[in-house]
Amino acid sequence: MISIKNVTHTYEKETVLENLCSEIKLGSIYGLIGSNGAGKSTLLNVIDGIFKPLSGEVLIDGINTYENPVLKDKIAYVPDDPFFFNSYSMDEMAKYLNQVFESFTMEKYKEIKAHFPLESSKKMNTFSKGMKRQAAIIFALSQSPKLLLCDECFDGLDPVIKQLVKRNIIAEVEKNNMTVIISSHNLREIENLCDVIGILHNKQIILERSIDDIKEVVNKFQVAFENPLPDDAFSEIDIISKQSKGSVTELVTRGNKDLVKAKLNDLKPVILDTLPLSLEDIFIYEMEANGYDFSKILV
Amino acid sequence: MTSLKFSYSLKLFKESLKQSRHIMIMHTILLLLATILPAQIAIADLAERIKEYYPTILNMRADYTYLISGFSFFAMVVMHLASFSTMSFSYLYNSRSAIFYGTLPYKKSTMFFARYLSGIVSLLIPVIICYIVNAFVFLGHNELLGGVDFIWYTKNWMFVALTYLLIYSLCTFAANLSCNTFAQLIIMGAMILLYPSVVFILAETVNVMMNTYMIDYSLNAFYIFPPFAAVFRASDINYTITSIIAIIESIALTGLGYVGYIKRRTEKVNNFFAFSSVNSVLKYFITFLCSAGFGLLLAAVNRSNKEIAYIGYIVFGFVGYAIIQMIFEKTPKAMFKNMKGLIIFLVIISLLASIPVFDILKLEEKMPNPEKFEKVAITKIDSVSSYWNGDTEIVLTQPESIKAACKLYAKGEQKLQNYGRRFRLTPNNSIFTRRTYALSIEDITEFLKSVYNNNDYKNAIKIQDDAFDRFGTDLRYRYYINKNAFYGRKEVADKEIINKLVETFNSDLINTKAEDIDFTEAYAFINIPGGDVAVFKEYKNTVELLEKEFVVKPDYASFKKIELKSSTKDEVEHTITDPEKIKFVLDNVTDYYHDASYSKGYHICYETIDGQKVNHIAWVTESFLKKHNIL
Repeated sequence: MISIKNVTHTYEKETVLENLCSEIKLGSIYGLIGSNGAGKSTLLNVIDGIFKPLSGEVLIDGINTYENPVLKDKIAYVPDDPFFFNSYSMDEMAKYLNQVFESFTMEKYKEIKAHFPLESSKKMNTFSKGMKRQAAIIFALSQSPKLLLCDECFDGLDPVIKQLVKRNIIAEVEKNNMTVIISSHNLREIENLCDVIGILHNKQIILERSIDDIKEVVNKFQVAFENPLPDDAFSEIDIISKQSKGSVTELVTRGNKDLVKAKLNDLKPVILDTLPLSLEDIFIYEMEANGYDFSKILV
Repeated sequence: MTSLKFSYSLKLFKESLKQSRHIMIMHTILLLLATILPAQIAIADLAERIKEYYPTILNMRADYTYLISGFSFFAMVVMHLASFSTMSFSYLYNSRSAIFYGTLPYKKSTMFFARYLSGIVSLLIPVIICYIVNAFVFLGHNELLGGVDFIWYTKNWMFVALTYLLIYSLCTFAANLSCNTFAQLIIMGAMILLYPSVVFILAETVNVMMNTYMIDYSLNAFYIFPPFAAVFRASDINYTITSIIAIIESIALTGLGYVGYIKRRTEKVNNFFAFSSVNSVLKYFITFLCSAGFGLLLAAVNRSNKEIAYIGYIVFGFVGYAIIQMIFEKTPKAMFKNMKGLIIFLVIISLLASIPVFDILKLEEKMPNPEKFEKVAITKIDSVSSYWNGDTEIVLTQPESIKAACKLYAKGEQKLQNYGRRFRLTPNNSIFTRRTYALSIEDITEFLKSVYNNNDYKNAIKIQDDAFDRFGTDLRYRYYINKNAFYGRKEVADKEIINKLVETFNSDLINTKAEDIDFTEAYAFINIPGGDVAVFKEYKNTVELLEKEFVVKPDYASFKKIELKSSTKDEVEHTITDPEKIKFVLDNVTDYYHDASYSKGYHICYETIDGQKVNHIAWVTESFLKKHNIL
């Protein structure tokens, strides 16, 4: 378990994270969602032990990550803007990382690299932004890490490469029970990859949901009744959102889909349809139910 | 709390060193170019000089090794170091690289030592290569250089290596307190200038504002920052002590740099300094230097009017503060924003200047008690004329001599403090109580009569046996008699004559009593390295030897007239045509402006029989000429 306990971090006099708490299950893929400047990168840097939080701590299986070489050897970090030595090729950089990381192996590097269309003997300062990001992901996976931190790592990748990266990450998770934390400002980009989504806003994680659970429990129905129902007709249903257009009402509900459907059927609707609901829609409704304007949280 | 425990990784060190290989190669090439090329030029020049002047070679090895201890070499080393040393920790200044290094599985302490050691090793390897290559070049000129002293050669290179260590440690310290290279260079500059600038400001404040006190601020600078020894080519410093100081300072700076590295926040990349306290310290340090420096400048210009100097000091303090505030805060609005700070600053500046200007501590009136001193250093006075001649000091240790010196001290006249040549007295060699006064002829004469018979004085005045050996035993001796310098200098190559002169002078000095000497009139001055010595007419054997071997008598018969020009107006005020008077004047001119503070001085211009006019820079005073009925 990765435990983020009451983490507060400041830049100059500005507080970026304040008493932030979260628990991330090992072996899961956690999507960290937030607008630009919300503090996603800062949180990843704190988790990796690069930044020392003003207060609080990050523990992996009960051990603090800050100034812990043994743990850091098992963590791979793909930053938003990766750094490589100026005149190095990918192979030279891999040799360097092989020297400094115990967990980095050249075999693994060769294996992962083979999946990507990159020239490993070419100087990396000639690489495009997308190519640099691919290289960073290759290096990160070559460490066979126990924890992979990816900061906006799909930005600038074309759809084919994006899928390739996702496949490789999933394969590593399956093979090594690797935990992944991916930050993004675009929920759609990571929704089909993550197990859990956390939304970072106002210096804290304001919402954290398992994708399976949320898809299971949040549903959208379209109902119509012959006669208008009294206000308390839906009192037995946990409604997140209710919108009426004439005689047709759209309901977003929380709870077991079949149970909610049965309760609605008891009200004898003339129409009862289940509508498709995207992950983004679910979050929009959830956030609104919690009093947030989702449009201000995600771009 | 962050652990300050030492840890080390050979792997990381090797990788860091590997990355410095290009720098090492470039540095080696630059160092070789900077040593071998000038060395070859120096050796070629040396060979030429041997052909022209010297039958054998003496200390010319110094010419060669000066290359690695002189200013140009030092400047080059600092330039290299400033550009190369900044690289070891420059990754801290970029968020991408700072995060990359932050992800590496090492403790901060491990990372620091790996970077520090790889940096210094990559800088020292070129030094070692240059040491070896230059040794072969050195050996190649073995015959020319008169033998190879490898201990001496190695000692010079060791000093270079220590300079590297110290400056690199300073770079490390500055790097870990900064967020960019410019800020790093500012901290380095401030650290290097910390001691000299503060001492300069404080010492000059005393020197400018006080009549009789004087602080020699150049003292001890080498011991605070040993590479200064190379910059100023200090020949008299103790290399063992400076080396130990360099090592201690390097360790201290590295330690402070380490603490900075451990304590700094990785995300601090966009600021100027990594710690806000550095900003404040530097801001006030620079403000103090600038305002006090400007104030001092104004005070120095107006030193005759202390009130104006004092007001100028404070006004410039105020202006300096406002300007530095504006520069640091990057807005003109900040000039008077911090009124509290400005008031505190002005109070400090005012107090600092008030102590010497108003002599709050009544230091000017304080007279020394000769019984408290074991020795005094005093401007070398061996005749009335030589008092005006330079800053050479002698040390007196006998109680009677100390007493005479202190008496002189009490009689000194403050009104003449603006004149460059002053009498200085330093009890117990303390730089903080050095006092300066101007003296009258009578006081000097009285002093000389009191001390002349003392052994400490005679030992201090006598010509040392090796006084002329400075340039080697077979050099031509540069030697002249001032009184006749007007007629040209005479260079003497004969060692025997020189030895005889030294022997005769010292013998006359020892055998002559104060009671027999007229101290107001020196017959001649013998120029030796480090100052002149006065020859009185009572030194009969010396005078006889000088007249026989050295003095070129002027051809008075060729002089039609001499004109006396005022030393201040450059106008002819008197013309002398009487041959007897011409002879008298020319016999008594001097190179030095002695007695001139009490009497008007004249330059001499003479016209020969064939009408040729010649201006000559020599002095004779109005009072002297009137005394002898010439005017």
